[in-house]
Amino acid sequence: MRSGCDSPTVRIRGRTSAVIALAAAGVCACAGEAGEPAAASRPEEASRPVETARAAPAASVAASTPAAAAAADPALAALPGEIVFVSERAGRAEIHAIHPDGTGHRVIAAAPDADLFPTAASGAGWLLAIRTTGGETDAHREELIAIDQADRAAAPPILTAGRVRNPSQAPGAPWLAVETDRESFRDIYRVSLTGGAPRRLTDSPHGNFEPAVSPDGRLIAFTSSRDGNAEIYVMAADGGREARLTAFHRDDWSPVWSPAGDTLAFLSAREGPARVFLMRPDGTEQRRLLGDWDAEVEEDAPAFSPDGVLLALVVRRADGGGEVWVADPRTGKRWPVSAAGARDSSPAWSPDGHYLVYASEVDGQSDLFVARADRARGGPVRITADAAQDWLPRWTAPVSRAPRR
Amino acid sequence: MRQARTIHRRDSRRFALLSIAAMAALAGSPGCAGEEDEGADPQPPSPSSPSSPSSPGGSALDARFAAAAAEFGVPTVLLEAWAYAETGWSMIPGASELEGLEPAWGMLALRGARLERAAALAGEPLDAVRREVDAHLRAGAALLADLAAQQGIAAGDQLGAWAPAIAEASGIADPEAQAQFVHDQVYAAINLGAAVDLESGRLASIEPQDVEADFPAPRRGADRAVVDYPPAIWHASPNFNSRPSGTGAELVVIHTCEGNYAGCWSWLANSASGVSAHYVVAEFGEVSQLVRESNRAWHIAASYDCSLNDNVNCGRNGQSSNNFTIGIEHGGFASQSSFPGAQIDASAALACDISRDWGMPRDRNHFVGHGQLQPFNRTDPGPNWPWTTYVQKMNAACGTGGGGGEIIVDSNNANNDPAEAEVEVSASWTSSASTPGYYGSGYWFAETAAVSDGAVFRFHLDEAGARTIDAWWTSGANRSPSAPFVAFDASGNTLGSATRDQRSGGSQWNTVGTWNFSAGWNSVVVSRWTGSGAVVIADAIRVR
Repeated sequence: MRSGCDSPTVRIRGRTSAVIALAAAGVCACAGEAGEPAAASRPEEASRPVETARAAPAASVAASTPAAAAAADPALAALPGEIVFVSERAGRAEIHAIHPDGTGHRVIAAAPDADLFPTAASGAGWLLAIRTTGGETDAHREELIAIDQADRAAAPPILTAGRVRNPSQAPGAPWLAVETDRESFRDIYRVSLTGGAPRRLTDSPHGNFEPAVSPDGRLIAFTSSRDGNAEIYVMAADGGREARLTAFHRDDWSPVWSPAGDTLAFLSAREGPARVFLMRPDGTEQRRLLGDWDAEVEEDAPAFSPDGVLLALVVRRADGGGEVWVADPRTGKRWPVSAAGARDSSPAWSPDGHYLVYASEVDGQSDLFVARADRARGGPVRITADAAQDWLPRWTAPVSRAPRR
Repeated sequence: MRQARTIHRRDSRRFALLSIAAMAALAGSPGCAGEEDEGADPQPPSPSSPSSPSSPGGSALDARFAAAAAEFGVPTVLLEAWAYAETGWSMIPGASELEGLEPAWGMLALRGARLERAAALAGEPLDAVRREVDAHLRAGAALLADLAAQQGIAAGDQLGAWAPAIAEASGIADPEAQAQFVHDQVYAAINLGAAVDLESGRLASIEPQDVEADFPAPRRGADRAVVDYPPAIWHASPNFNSRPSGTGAELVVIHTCEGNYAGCWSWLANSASGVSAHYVVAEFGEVSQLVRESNRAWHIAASYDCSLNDNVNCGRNGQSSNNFTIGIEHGGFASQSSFPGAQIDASAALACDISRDWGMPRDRNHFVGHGQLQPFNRTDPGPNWPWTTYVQKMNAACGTGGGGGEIIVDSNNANNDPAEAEVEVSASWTSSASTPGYYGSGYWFAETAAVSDGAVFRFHLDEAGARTIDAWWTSGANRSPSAPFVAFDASGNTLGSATRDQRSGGSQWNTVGTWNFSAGWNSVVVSRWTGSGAVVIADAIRVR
């Protein structure tokens, strides 16, 4: 079962989410679909994940226990997979996980001297993450690492040179596209998960950013400032055959592929405020996802549902608050999924496409919520309630306990 | 001279949670902040939430300032102006940006030892002073009264006589910055008046009154010496060194001070701080330059200086981001729900100047937030920094992409600024987005015919002058080899015409001609009147 490319490039700058654009972004990895990261082989024992002593109580909006979360929507307990997220409960950014019903909270990875940000599960229990370290006198690094989602072991880093951002992967592919400044302002590299030197795919002094590998692994969409402002381009997956897809004097950025690879969603400021647009992968049929909002409303973080039919997005008002909405591009219908009034970010689909998880910030405190994509059953259910920041959720498919080799 | 400002601010969650009860009391608004939205129809968010009438006359927050001030014998308006200068009456939740400065809390942005002293003087628990409005205001009033007493200022003294106590209360060390804070920020709020309006009503206000602060005036322009940006005031910081040879500025990093402007530049100019930025932009639009652009400021803490590490790893990989960036600090807080227009305008004009000097693209990849570069717990410039507006204002200041010198008229009016650009076509023209490489969101095409039924691209010029017209189209074998372009002035007089072969030259700007246009709405028409059996494409024109 595919989990779809449900990890949009996120551009939110929030309290802690300042970091999102760095670490996060669209690893289009599909959990459970092979893709063996890192060279190190992992032991094959099939122990269940260890519940940590610091498991936090989950809470619904109205109550504060996992039982309440389950009562709010009994179906949550039956949902597959696990939600991986960033938690700052211990000060630094750590990678935690929790079941969709708010139970089973555990720490996947933490480091006393680094911040860790999950990209998305990469299959066979591996989680790709960005590890950032640095201070006054040591190198500020953003490294790409692999972590065993089940037993929390970390493999040797995959890519250490340069500051790595925006890794993207075709489902199951043994390679990633990333953005780094290892040799230039910013360029796009192809990184093998099975060894070998990274290969530089772009070269322009004003930078290339935000690679998004097509689901079939043949193309990489990306953003470049080579003509004087941000536009979207596409190239072959091994570099070359670059084609410009957008042209306008205001920015176009953050390309996201539909699961079938027949549509690119992206953000554009061509009409003034940032809005989600769609186009064919050759740049034709560019169109706004949604009709009119108030002029000040901006859209962000588009994420295709696993079946490619719907998109989740963040609809943000001028005061910075905003909700998660779901839109149907075929009909133009749209509806809010999250409760009004908070600052919501980074919606991610459940593997079955029926639910969304997102971070919601209220008064500087960010927690995770799960909501039905169709709002058919109740409202959003809070699944974390720690006073520290919990954010950047990624809904991973059930962990396969059979790593290849 | 700057004007009194009324800030119109949405009821942000942060405000709502000053404390729900507090807000309800402040503006008569029901405590709806935490409400679920179960029954909401799928409608776009509305800019106006249901609001209650504001309290007539002063607001409840004014009354709470008055209560705290009265208890400790300090002037209400001074306490209120101090808070306005620090935070615009926002309760700041422990914000930290600058190395060596403790996090700031509450409306008075109290930090560190001053916060503790204020709490002790008022007999309030530390946490209450940090987070609760009344406890915070009581502590601030107690601190102000104490500092005043130390300087021999008595409760009945003239408002202006309290200036030295405000200077002390600010925590600013530099005399020039103290003078600027006292005169340009606190007493300016009293002289000019101030108000903050939320949707649900008036948060607080200060009625203007003539008062002169009894405090040395800022030197004003005496240091307007060598700056890279002429409108800036030079406040030299010792906290810089050279960029590595061959390294220039490639990226601009936007920060917020997590404190007020004067406190910010003065700390960055203080050798004890060990940090700096190239520029600091005030809430009211003033710009200070602290470090020359050609030098390396120390504005990104989590960076690498190989010279501090036995010159290990000096390659690009280990380079400090300070090496190739310019840092712009902004007075204010990342958590504030909006930034003053004067500050955004001033910063965008500065950003335009920097982009010109260093040949930087003016886009979101080259003007970034601090947090985008440094994944730490810093939040500036906050989720509410208006990035889209900022980039557009920067372009407008540079006369590109609309505004200033250059105008682009797209074939889709949704992409046009109606104040200066408009397209109009008849029903004979067909909208398309099927040949790639068009400008914006699509283009119009029409079959050639001996009719005057052109696609009209109108643009507004404030003054008459010669302009060069470029055109964009998608090329193809069925395009006309002689697509006619006809230029008209605002009176409808034909200025001239030219033809271009649209079978090639697609997806780029192609020069059509230069004509003397008049003030008002001029136009360039893509005509159908040319050899038959082909189509003409109307995609976009650029006026430069």
